[in-house]
Amino acid sequence: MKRVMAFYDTSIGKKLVVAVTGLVMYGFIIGHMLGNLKAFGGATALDQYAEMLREIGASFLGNTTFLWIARVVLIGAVIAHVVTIIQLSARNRASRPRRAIRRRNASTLAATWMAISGTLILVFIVIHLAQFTFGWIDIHASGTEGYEYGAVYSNIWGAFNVWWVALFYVAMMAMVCMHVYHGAWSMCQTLGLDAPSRNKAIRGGAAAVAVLLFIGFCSVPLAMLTNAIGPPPDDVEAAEAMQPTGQESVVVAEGEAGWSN
Amino acid sequence: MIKQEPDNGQPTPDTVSLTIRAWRQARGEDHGHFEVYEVGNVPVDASFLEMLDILNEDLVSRGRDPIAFESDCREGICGTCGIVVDGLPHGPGHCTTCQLQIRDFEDGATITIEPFATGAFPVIKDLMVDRSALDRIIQAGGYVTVHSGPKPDPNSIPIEHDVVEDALDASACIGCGACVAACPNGSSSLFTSAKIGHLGLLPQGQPEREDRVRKMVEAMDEEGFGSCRNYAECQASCPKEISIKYIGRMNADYIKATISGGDRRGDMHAT
Repeated sequence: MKRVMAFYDTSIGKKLVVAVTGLVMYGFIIGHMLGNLKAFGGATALDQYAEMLREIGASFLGNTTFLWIARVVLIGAVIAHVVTIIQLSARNRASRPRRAIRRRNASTLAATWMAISGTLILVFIVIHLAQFTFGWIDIHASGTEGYEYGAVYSNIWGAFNVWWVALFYVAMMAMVCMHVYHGAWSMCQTLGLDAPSRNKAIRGGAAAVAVLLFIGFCSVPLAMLTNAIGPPPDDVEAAEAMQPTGQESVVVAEGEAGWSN
Repeated sequence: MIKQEPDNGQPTPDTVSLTIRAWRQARGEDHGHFEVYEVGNVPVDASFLEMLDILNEDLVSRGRDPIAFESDCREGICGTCGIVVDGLPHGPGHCTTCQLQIRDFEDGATITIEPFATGAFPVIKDLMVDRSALDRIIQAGGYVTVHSGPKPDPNSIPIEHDVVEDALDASACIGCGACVAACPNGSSSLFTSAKIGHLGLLPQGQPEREDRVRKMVEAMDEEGFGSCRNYAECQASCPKEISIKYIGRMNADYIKATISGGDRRGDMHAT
């Protein structure tokens, strides 16, 4: 334990904590983005996917137990990530170059914006949970249903049909992707995985994942805003009840066919 | 402010006049200020530090305090000189300050010169900073076990070519501190990692390897250097072009040394 604390006390130890917690969150947002794409499969597909997340391991752990384990791990990762970064930043401020008009030579925009993008992401997470998990913030376009627990597709449809909500999400996703571009490469450096022979591949890979995340995350709000994917069925339960008889709406059927490929 | 390609047909002048905006900070003072000096008749063949010598001679002849700066070999190999020129550690030449030439600047240019000052590099006077924190990191590394008997046979310890090259690239570090001055966090990670890298890569450096990386990393933090955020500014400013790959290597080595916690003395296999 003493050795662990001594390790955590060094800058490299702290950076390792930032890298590992970052990796946990990186894994989460990749999964989140892929899950979001279920929206293209229609309301039923997305709502069933959401229900499935609650039921992982239900047979031996009970409903939502696995979900809560994942949530605790993620909340722990966010707290450790932020606290450690604040501690590192305090040291860095004390050691910052005095005077010297700095001319940035090598830093990428993503690298210099890490603190800005990170803070915005933190604020965004709170807003995002308040909006879609707890329903405390219920902004929806006129003529759409308000927040309803479990009706994922209907909830996001209502919100993303407000143009500035969709725009806010796209802007925040730009922050996320800038953050994870530098973060993923930086993590490889912190873990000592980087080498000149691999640097291009790691940088390129980090950029490719960041761009794919941006496209994946933005596709759903933009598709909903532009009506590229249709509104939810009037009554979600009724639609589910109709499903076995094959009398789904055309839009849902098309979407599902596309997704199954 | 670096000079463009010379104009065709224009005769190159033999001397140039420069405006020097120099950081002045008296010994023991917390705050300094810029002073502006005109220096004329500087031969184009002069080096940057010779230009400062000319300026200082002029200041002394007029009974004023010369600008304090450090230099020693003036060949780019000792690491003593180090001035932030126009916002860049060692200036725009990708070399040490002493290798910077006046012919690289336009006639009539205004050049801003500042010390390598960071949290761990306090200003001694004007452009001189105390870089002894770097020496203390080296000291923390301790000793390297060497064979002290008769001269060993050449090649008695086979080392792969790539490993030798990597170790030599790391050992090119002259400890000038430009990496610290360039880093937005004032981190000495590039310096420390180069020192750890050049010993840790070679078989001769293996016995104390884990002990060394632990002690040097801890010393680096104790000296008040910032942490690495992978801006890679250090690599861009290093006159010896040392790669940030050594920082990655140091991180991995430090993590390994912490996990194993063992002592590798007596183990002579490079990994």
